[in-house]
Amino acid sequence: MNRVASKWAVTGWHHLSFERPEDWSIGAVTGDHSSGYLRLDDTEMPRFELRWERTRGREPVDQVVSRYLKNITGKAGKKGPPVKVRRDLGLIKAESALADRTVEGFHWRTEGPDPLQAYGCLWMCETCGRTVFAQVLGRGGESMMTRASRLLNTLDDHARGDNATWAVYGLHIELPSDYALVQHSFLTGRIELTFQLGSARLELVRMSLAEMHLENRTFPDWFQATYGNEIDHWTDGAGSYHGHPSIRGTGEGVDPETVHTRMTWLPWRRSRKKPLSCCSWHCIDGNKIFVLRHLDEKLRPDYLDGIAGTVICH
Amino acid sequence: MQFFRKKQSPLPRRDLLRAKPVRNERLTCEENSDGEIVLGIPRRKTWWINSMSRFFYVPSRRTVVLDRIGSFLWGLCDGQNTVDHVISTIRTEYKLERKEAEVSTLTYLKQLTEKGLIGLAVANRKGDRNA
Repeated sequence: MNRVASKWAVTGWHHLSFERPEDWSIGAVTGDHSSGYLRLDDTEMPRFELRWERTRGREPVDQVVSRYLKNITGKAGKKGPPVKVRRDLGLIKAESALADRTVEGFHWRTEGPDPLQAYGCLWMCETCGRTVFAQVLGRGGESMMTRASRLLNTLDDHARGDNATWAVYGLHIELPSDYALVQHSFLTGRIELTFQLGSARLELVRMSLAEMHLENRTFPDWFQATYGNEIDHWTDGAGSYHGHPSIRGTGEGVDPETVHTRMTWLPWRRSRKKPLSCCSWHCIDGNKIFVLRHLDEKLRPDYLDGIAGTVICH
Repeated sequence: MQFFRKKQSPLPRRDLLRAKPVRNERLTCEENSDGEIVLGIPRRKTWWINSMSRFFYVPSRRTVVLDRIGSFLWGLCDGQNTVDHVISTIRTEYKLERKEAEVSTLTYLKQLTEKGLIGLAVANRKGDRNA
C-alpha cells in the first residue's frame, strides 16, 4: 500500500486523539487513562502503534528512546540483518504541541527480504503527566514521511478545552473531559462505551444492521420491546433527531453498581434504582441505532440532549 | 493416524484476502419465498452411515437455510470474487465499518468452509489455483 489515503478520520481514546487514514482501523486496544496500548491496522499489516503511561521518575526522554531503539536493534541483530536508526528528527512542528512537551523523533529501518520501517516519537507531557510513545509503521520501500508527519502532528494527549473526543470504529462523541471510561465492549455490530463522572453514569450503545434489529417494526416499538422492561415509570416522546426517527424520555433504571449476584434477598443488597434520562435514534443513512442512557441522582434530559448533539452518526 | 498428521499452517492474511470462495458443486441450491437460500447437502456414503440406514431412517439429504445476509454472501461465492471483494461488498451493502464487515465475513466463511459448503481457491506461487 504505497498510496496515501485521501480521506482522514479522527480517532480519540482516553483523551488521546489524532487523525489517521480512514482505512486504518483499531486492531488492538488495552489499558485505561493512566497506561495503555492502541494499534491501528490496515488490510495488510499494523500501521500505527501508540503507548502511553504515567511518567515516573525523571528519566530523560532521550534515554527512554535509546532504551527502546537498543531493544529493537538488539532483537533484530540476533535474528537477521541490523537495523538502521536515525534520531533527533523534528517530526513534530506545531509550536503549541511543543510548548508543554519534551519530544524526540526517530526513524528505524530493517533490511532483508521483507524490510520494515517506522517514524516515531516519544514525549513527556507536563500537562497530563503521561509519557506517550507513537510510531507509524510501513514497508521498507514505502514513501511514508508525509503520512507519518501528518498523523504525529495531529496527535494530542489531552483534551484542549472542556470536551474530550472519543472516536472509535466510526463512532464519534464529545464528552466533558471529566468523564472517565469505565467499561467498553467492541463486538461485531455492537459497540458499547460506559463513562462515569462521580455518581453519574453515561452509557452509549451503537448497533449496526439496524434494519435487521427492527424487523419491520417501527423504531418506538423496537425501543419499547428492547429497553421497555429495563426502565420504570417511562415517559417518552417520539420525535426526530437530525431527521432520523428518535425517542427521548425519562424514567428510573437500575444502577448497575448496586446489582449483586449473591444474597440478593438481604435488603441492603437489593439493587437500587436511579433517575434515568434516555435518548435513542435510528440513523437511516448509516443503518445504525444509537442509544444514550444517563443515570444520575436527578433527571437531566437537556444535558443528555447536549451530549447526543455531539454524536456524529453518519 | 491423527498423531502423525502434519498440522496445516494457517493461510497468511494476504493470501486469505486474495482467495476466491467457491461453492461446493455437490450441493443443491434453491431460493425460498423469503428470498433466503436453501442448501441441500447430500448424505455422505460412508460404510457406517450405510449400515445405520438399514436399521434407521437416514434422510438422503440435509437442508441448511441461510439467513438474509448469508444468502447475499452465498451469491458472492461464485469463484470470481476474492474474499477482499466480498468483504467490501458486504460493507457497502449493510453500511458496516471495515473491521465489522471483515470479522463477521471471515467468521461466516470459516463456518461455511468447515461444513464443506464452500472451498477457498488460493493462488499458489506459480499462479495456479488450488481449490
